[in-house]
Amino acid sequence: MSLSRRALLRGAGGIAVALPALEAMRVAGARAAGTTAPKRLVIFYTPNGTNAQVMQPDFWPQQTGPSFVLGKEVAPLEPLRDHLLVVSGVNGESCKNDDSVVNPKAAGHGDLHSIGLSQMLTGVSYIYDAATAAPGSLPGGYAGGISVDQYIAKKLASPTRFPTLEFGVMNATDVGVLPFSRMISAGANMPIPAEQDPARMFARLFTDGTAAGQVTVDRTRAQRKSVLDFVLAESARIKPRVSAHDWQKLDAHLGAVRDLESRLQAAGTTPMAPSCSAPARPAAGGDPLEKANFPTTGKLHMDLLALALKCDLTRIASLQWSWARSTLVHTWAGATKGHHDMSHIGQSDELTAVNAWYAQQLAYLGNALQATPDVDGKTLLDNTLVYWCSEVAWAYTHSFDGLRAFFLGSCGGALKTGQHIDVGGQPHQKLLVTLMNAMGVPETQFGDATYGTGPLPGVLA
Amino acid sequence: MSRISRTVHLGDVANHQRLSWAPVASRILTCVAVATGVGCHGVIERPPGGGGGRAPDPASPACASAGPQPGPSPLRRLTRAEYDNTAADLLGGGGALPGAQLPDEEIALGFTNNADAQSVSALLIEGYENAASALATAATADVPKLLGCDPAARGEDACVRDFLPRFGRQAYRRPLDAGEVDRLLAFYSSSKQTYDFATAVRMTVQAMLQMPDFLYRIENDGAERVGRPSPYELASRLSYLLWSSMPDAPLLDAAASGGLDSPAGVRAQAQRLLDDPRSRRAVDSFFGQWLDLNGIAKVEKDAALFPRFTKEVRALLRTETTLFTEDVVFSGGGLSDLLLRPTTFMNRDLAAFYGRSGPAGEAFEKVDLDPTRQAGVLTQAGLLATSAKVNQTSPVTRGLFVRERLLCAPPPPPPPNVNTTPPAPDPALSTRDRFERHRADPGCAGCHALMDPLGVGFEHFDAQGLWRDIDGGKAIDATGEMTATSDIDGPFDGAVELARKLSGSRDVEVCMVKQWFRFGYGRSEGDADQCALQALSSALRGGGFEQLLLALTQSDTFLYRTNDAGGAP
Repeated sequence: MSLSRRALLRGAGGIAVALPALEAMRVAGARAAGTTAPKRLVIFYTPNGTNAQVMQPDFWPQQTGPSFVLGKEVAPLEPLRDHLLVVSGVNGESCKNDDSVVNPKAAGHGDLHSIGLSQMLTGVSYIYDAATAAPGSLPGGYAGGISVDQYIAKKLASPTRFPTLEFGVMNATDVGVLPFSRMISAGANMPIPAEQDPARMFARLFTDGTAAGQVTVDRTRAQRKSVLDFVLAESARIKPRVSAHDWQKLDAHLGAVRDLESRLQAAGTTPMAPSCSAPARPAAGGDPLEKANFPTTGKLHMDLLALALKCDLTRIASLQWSWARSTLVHTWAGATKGHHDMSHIGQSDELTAVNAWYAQQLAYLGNALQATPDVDGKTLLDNTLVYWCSEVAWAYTHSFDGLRAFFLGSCGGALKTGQHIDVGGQPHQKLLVTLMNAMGVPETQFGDATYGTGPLPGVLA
Repeated sequence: MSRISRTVHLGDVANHQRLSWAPVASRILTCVAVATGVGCHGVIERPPGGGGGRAPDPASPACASAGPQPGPSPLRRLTRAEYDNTAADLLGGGGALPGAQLPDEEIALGFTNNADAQSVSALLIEGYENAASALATAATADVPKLLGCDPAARGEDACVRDFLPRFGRQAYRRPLDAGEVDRLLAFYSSSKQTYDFATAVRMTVQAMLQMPDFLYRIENDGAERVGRPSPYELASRLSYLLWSSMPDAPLLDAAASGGLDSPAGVRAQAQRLLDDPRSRRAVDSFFGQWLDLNGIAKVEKDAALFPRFTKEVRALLRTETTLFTEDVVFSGGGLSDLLLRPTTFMNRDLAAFYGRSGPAGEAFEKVDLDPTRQAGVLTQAGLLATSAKVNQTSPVTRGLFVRERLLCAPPPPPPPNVNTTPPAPDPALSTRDRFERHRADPGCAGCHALMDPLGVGFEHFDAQGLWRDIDGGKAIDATGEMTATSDIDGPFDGAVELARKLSGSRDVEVCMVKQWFRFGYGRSEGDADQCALQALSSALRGGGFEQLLLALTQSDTFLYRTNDAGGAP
């Protein structure tokens, strides 16, 4: 087995270094049976729920078990049905508590879409903040806790260059970034933005890919690291000058600088996955903030996401399409009205077409993962769990009963795919625990445990 | 800030039993229609500073003897726009704006510079790093020029030794102490040993651009609970308020020489900054956000119905409002000029959109308006189009804009299970008629009475903001009614009459001042700020927006700060 040029060029300052034999074998692409592949998690979010209640077949299969039939809105997933696990009966019980119609004590609190979004991955109530009101909607607030993807990343502490990667397609609302725009959070009131621009994401992940480029990158990387080291050391001296309150904010800033510095450090020493070569820069997809480019931007993001997983740049990623309560007009899917407005009219062909379009996008990602071989001889999809979620269940009434829970990929055999399971009314905190357990984090609770602990019954293999 | 909330039953909503309103302050209405059990949601808040609503008189002993009350002084980070302006002022402009690499900013209270809403993320830090690298690389393309010194003649290290304190004072907006300079020099020296001179200079600049001292407007904590910011900290407060950018050399020198030691000295510099063209940026930043116009490029209309509303036109509409508000502010205008001045700015293409002749070229010119139809910012197409739907006008959205942005009294949103899709346009029905249910249905009327009767006043302006006389086959009825204010309740006909009412309202004046407070200080107003708000109102009333801007530099909030001084603020 010959060592790749990349392996040879690794090392500070571009000095050629030969890797230890074991690393060399790995880098050269050994795929011995019995090699364990890491597990990956992808959060795949689309807005405004579905207009089909659980008893309506367009979205939810009417049969449990392996002979489930996929309706019109989800038919594009049919070719992947063996990898699909549909779970109905998951309820956002804690979301209901923030709904002032159900709980008058929550009066004045929260648009149901931002309630749903803030709870979807955190399992806790949001931080109410009147300042985040937008014209025509209730003030809400950012999530009240860490989102499950970030938590799993911390627990696993994988040796990948990025603990997580967040991809987003036009997440800002029509009036700007609001709690409807942020589904990922590092902690209470700490929203994490997703990268909106595939070109910028590409630059984050890959250099220009050529061998010569790699030398330049290593040198530049060393310089960048040196600069950041100076910034960190010098900034520590600010602490005695400022108030504790101000230092809290600055410390958070410096923590993020420290993380970047660590990533730079790791990039110099962590090889990418076997058989991964830095790709050619994709063709420009046009302005990623232009509505007409929504489909293209999404596809470019999905291509990069699959590539990032393949190259082991991360094992945990998320893709957020638009924003909670999105008003986007999906003209490319034949829609003539805004998504949110349509979701309140009731079932319509246009709305079905929009939801089916999103299912198509999920299928696109699933196919990309399935087409990628993994280190254990299986496919990347086999070792991934893609969780298709939305902030509300039945959009017409903003109901939180029957939250969307489509899992694509068995996560290395952790889930029993190829079936539809009805869990009969379980709190969504259990779904979040299920994600953790599937990814190999054996904890029994996540979010507000008063609603439930342990995973969803019957879902884990 | 403590809030007292109570639910108010309107009783017989259809008869519009009126509440007695406190004259001042933001409030969110709760109304529950008992009959249907479905209602609006929200909370009535007592105005900050206590109940009753009468704001304290700044000349009263209570305001004078209270001692300085600056309120919270949160740490403020440069916004994207401020970052761009600062980078250009520090290093020279040209090239792509680095701020575009930074993630979108979260909005709070309608503005992107709210200190508490500024969060940190990996994307932000990477954005700063990329920006710093790009800026430093561009700046060191000509090292002697950057250093202001010829390294070949004088010696590389000697040039850098002179450069660092000078550049650092600008970059950190304060003098560096000896230790800081020494450590920067040491970093430069070791980098030069590893790489080369030019690289070492670049790396040093790159480091300084990522220091919190550059990215944040750091203010030292003082020994007493309430203290004065240092002169350099005041200089930054001045320049970011009035220029959205860093202090210039004369301002830094004024800080050094005692020029900012007194309120009068601060005011004199503020006047100088206001008179400088750079102040247009700050003014435009405020109005663009307050009027929600920054997203106008994304506002689309049904191309079949409104083919004239092209992308190019949208950009021109933004410029129109920029020039109009600039003209109002810098001609000494105030609230009534903003709302009633019967002139605007157009170029040839924009005039064609508006269906009039006049301006001949690309340059914008001042044009007169028919004052019976159009006057002030509320009748400009940019705002009117942004507050309409894709294919129809929206009395609700336009009324909501007035209620929220001009009266600071946002009604609660619709109940969760209501279908909020507007009825489809109908050639036989006017918009007014189609929205009739909001008035007739008691479950809707309680809240919609606050919006629709205002929004219908704009019905002469279609969804792209252009004048029309007919809707639904009949002549437009733009009569409306103002309610729930302390001083301008009553009927009106059309947008100009509405603007006239608003311009005479104390409630609107107070709201306008609050908006500037939030934008200027990067936080919401609270109990401690009531005296400041009254003084700001007087300034706006007496001398227009210029005097308001100057007054923003004379308040306790500006001239003082609240320190931790051993405890949390």
